[in-house]
Amino acid sequence: MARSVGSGEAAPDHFVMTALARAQRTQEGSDSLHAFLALREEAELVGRGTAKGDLTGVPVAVKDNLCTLDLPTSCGSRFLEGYRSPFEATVIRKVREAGGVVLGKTNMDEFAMGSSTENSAYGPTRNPHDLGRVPGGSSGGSAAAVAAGIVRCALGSDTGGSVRQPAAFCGVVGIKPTYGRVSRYGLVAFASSLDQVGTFGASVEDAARLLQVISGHDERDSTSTRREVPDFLDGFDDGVEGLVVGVPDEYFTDALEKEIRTRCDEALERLRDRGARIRRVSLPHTAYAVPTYYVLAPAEASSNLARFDGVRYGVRAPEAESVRAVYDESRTRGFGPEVVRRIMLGTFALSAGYYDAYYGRAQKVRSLITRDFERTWDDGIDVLFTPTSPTPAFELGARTGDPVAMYLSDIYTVTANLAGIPGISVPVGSVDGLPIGGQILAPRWQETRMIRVARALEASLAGTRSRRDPDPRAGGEGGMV
Amino acid sequence: MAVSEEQVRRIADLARLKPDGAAIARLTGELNGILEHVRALERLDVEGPEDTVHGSNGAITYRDPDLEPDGLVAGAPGDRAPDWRNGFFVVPRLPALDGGADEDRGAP
Repeated sequence: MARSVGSGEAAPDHFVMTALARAQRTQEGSDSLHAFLALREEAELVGRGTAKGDLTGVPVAVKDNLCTLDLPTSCGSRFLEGYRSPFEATVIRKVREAGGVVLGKTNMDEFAMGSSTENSAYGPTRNPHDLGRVPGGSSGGSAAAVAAGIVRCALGSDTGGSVRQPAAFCGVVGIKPTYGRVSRYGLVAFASSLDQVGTFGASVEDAARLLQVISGHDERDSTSTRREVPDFLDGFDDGVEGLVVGVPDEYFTDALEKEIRTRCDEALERLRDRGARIRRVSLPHTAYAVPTYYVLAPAEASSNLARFDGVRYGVRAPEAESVRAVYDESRTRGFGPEVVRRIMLGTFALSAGYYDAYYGRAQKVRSLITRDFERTWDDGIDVLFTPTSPTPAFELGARTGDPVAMYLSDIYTVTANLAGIPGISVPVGSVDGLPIGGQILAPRWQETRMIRVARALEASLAGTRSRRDPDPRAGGEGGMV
Repeated sequence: MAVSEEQVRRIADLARLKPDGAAIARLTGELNGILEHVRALERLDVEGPEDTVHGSNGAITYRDPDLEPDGLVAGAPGDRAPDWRNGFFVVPRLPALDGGADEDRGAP
């Protein structure tokens, strides 16, 4: 795509216009996906995509919690309906400078709190493989936009699995990089010690190339690393000969649907056939990851979302008769039920008398979970392979009444956020026509190795079909580059 | 230990939220369900490990304090505000300010 624009074979705006037409088609009618909350106008896009770079002329869909200048940033919340940021996220600037064109802002669970995109104040996104099912979340709009063939790559954010789980549900590739690899400047904060911008791709290469563009130190985010960014495609097709792949027992329990286990076993067999050594390992504190996450993330959220007070952003209760009433009534009116639930949970966990029992304890358990991974790498494991989610995409509405059941959707993904390590979800087949994702986890800063293993899995699975395969001409012929 | 509706009201007050009676009852049930799940952490011996407060494993750098927000100059601030006069954002006046004392108890 970028190459054909760069060489003059295609007009700079050719792929962008094609993507816009596709996006508009999927926003309308009874079979609407509702992947986008805002799309660029056709007139704005004419002649775009001329900047020279790795993304020249490539349309990119962007999750609606990344600040953009030309489009509103609502975070899927009524609170920020119509909000326009006065600055743009560093990742958006990098995409623009590399020649990429932001096509639109994608739907998401409100403030990234959810696992199905059903918590969006603007209605859910539907899974392109089965319109009666969720696309996963919280970056469900970005995943659906790639799966439907609107774009080849998209940006999301991953606090507990919000890129990898929707990637698995939609049959695309999703990467959460090492914490600190990508700037969070301009990413609306949910849980700052866990949040990381991630990428979606129609292939491992697409997701990796977008990650290459957005990675690197940013003076405006002190948690972004000063380490040099390696070439994520170095050794891309070198395979897995000699690599040691660990398979943690705790990710293959009764919670895992039998058919998904079978797809994962088949994937491991293919890695073994290609020369990888497969070793069973134990990460003994895995069972404590979801409880730990659901103390720490809400605690941080309750602090981060205090800024939404009805004075500086979005919704303001017009009839409030005191400053305190402005806060109370604006927040009660502006936030949806899941956000309220998490703010309440986080406020409780941080309150006097409960802090040590909940927040303090969870911080220590986070250390134990991190140590589990470090011991595994020290024992000679190069990467870990796990399922991405215990189930395929579930039906719309199936879990909205049971918060704990919804939270358990993240059971295999939250550990990477707690430990700060990178993870990728790559399709490993399907069950009853619904895509299944396998997750590869790697030590900090080892994205290149992780991507190489994901590529080997992808190549080994060529030809496997899911219920509704994306248009093979998706987002432009022959891939992003 | 379960949280009571009275405690949930207190938490809502701390969080600057004002759920009605039905919402308090619902939230009480939901929070107790979640806290029941979270109580699994009580089974662990956590003597020894340090707190992990960040995903970066402590490797945080410091940013230049003089940095300006990136891209903030894209048009005058007033272009992005509903109302802007004499270099200030104009916000709706609170009715209480017309009537006298305000009950400001601090920002959330």
